[in-house]
Amino acid sequence: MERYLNIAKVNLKFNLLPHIIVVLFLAVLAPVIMGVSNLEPLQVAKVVDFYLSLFGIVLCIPLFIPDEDRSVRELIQSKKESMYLVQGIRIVEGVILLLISLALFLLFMKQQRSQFPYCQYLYGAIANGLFLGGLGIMMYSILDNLAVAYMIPILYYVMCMGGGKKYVGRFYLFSLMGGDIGDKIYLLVAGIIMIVVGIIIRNKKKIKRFINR
Amino acid sequence: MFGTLFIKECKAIVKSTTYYLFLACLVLFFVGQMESNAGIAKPLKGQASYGYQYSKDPKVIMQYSIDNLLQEFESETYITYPFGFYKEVHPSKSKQSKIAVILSEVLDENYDIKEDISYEQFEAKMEKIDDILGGGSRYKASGLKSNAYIPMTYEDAMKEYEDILYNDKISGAYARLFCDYMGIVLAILPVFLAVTRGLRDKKAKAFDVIFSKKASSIAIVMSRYLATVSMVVIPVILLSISPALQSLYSAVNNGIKGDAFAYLRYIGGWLLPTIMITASVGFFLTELTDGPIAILVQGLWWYISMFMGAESLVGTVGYNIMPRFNTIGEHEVYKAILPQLVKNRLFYSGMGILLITATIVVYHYKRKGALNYHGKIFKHRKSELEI
Amino acid sequence: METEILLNQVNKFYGNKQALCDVNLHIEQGMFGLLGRNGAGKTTLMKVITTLLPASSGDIHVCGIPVKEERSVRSIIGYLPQDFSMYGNMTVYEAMDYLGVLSGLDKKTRKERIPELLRRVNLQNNKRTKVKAMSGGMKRRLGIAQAILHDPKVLIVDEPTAGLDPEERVRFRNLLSEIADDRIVILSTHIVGDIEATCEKIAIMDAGNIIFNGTVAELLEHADGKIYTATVSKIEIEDIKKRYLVTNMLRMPTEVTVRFVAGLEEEVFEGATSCTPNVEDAYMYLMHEKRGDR
Repeated sequence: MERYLNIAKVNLKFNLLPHIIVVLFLAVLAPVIMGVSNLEPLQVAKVVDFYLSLFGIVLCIPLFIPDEDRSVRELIQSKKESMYLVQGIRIVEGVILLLISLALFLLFMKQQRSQFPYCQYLYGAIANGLFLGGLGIMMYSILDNLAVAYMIPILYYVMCMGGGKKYVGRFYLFSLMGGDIGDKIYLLVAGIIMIVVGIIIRNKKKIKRFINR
Repeated sequence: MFGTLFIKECKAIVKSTTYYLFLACLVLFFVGQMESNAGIAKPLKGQASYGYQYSKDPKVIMQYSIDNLLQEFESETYITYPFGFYKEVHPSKSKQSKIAVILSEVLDENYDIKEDISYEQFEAKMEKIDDILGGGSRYKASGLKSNAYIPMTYEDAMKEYEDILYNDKISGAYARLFCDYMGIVLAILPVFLAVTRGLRDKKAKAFDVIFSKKASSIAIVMSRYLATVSMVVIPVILLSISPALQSLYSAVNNGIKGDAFAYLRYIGGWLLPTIMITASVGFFLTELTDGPIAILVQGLWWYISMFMGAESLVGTVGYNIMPRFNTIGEHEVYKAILPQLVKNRLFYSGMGILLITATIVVYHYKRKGALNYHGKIFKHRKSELEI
Repeated sequence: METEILLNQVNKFYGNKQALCDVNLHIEQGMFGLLGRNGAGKTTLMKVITTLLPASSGDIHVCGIPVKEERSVRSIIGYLPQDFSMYGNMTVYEAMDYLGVLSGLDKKTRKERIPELLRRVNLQNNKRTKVKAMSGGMKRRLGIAQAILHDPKVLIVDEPTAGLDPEERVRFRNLLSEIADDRIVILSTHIVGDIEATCEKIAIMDAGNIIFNGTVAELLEHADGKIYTATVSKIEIEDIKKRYLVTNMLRMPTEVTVRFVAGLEEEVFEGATSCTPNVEDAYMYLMHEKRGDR
């Protein structure tokens, strides 16, 4: 157990810290750029869909950054702890941080006398975050390009804003604003699947490269 | 030599996955946003509706604004959109009384707007109210006219029709809408291409070898930058061909000669500065930090601009990186904002040039090993000590 | 323009740490070997000459041009960094062509020289191989080809043989010797064998200082009479290791043949005979002499 905690601690210190600062910054910035007090449920939903979704991009995508350098990656792969375990710990850590930040933010909005069903909205925010984060993770593992890993989820977000529901169907990001919580389950499940697929592809790639040589 | 390097950079972009994703996003966004250009039709007398427009009559604007203000004053709740997000403002007693004083200066005892108040005076008073509310309210001087959204009469519709026909030659009216939409994605997409290019040297560990070559830092950085900008502009021009042809066709149908180069001019003047600044933010921050921080910075900037712009989709420019003009026609509004727009576009072109110049300087010093900060150089040196 | 590199009182600091201390060198045409352990300052020295790092003080002239004039220096220098690499999705030919453009070569020259150089480094059948699919040795050969593409007067190669298999290493050394026929080749290494096989002139670095500068013969001369060999039993070997600096050991079923350094002040045990030093012995002796370690 101590070993796992240590892996988590190293990840926190060397990898996640700047991203946590960014999320904090986004959270502090929120009351400046938008209303968080005395909101109606649908207004809160706008904040959740439009703003809190971004937290997932910031906290999930750093999953592979520590082993971006191939030689570092191979070094870690050669250690006793399997890459799956190390990355598993990292992603759990990212998700927990996402959960905490979203929960606290929504709690803050509750405190500011905004009206909304807390658990439902938290669930909606997590689903959005994991979906966008998972999308980035998967793209990162397939294309091995950090810029693209950020680009795709951000563009998905833009597409949803522009084209809307007609293109993405049940995977529409901004359904909560439309008063519909039902479709969030698709985002949540897809998000988890993409994270898992991303981790698997990332580690299979090494095998492919090895053969290439 | 520079030409060869430029071509090589262009080819490298064309071969990269990021570019195809970029193209896919650009095309999807275009297809999703541009409704088919149905052309314009002359309004007929006796139509049920001639559409709506923002009133240009100061009296009407003042009246609508005051009606709205009185209602919000009464309920002590003001709705603002400081960054495009909904925000309710509940002013304190003292602020309410300040607003009451301003109201009394504008209104007579019957709650009618005083006869002797000019529109400029009215604007100034409303601006004060906007300040009291913390900005983003409906009383901001530049946004006052959006309070008076009124039905058009036949005469209004006819005037609008003729404007589109004779002042915009149809093409111009549609080109502005094209710029409005495409500006949204072009204020973010180029940053990904720039960051990808910037990080490529680090990822391939190719920087040392490239650093040691004879080519000047100007040639290296500028070839990358210009290639990126060109490879963004080219597909935008290609995408504009179809709506441009439709506009020309529509012009023929309405008995005038269309303007074949309107789209090109609008792309060059309206979209190119956005592309330039976005790409140079990407190059500069990536060269400076060797990380993807530019995505975050540009992303945040884009996000805020997006929502601020969404507040007033026609007729406000300011210093938004992507000036909006979400309408067909409204030539008069366009004429009114043109000086602002030119200032805005020149400003961002200048900023783009400034940032890419700064990138060259950073590159030049990095190449000499003269920059000392966390990032590549730092790691670089550390590894030297170890080896 | 004379083919020589002059370094005069060159110092380099990284913060408080001094990576180069008063380095004075005069390097002439031919192979010049820079030997030293990891961290001795070899890479720093090479980067200072290549204009990739500024010296903190001192003068450096490459073929008469001060290194402050980066562009002119870069145009006459070819550099192969320690971990040479290029964009993975480029083919061998594309990488050469790209770097050729950066070196300011026109199309005609590139078309002539690239195939010729690829043949010279035995990559003529790999023109379309992607850089990411290349082995370490192939990459190194590509690295040397790109470094001499613009026919530089000076070629600087940092640890060129590290990570190569023995056969590749020999081929690589021969290639470098060929190249050195009409220019300066500076080669850094911590592998003594590389120097022995190729260089006439060498400098040995330790902790930022040049502790030896001269010919291989002079280095050997320096260690003359200090190297002994003996065949001893396996039990005695631990004792010898404690007393002397052992430079080589050859283990046989029951006995061990050792080579070791013994200074004049030290008594040599019975059965040990003096022998002619090789470069490795001489290097070990020098390090031993300067630092007193074993």
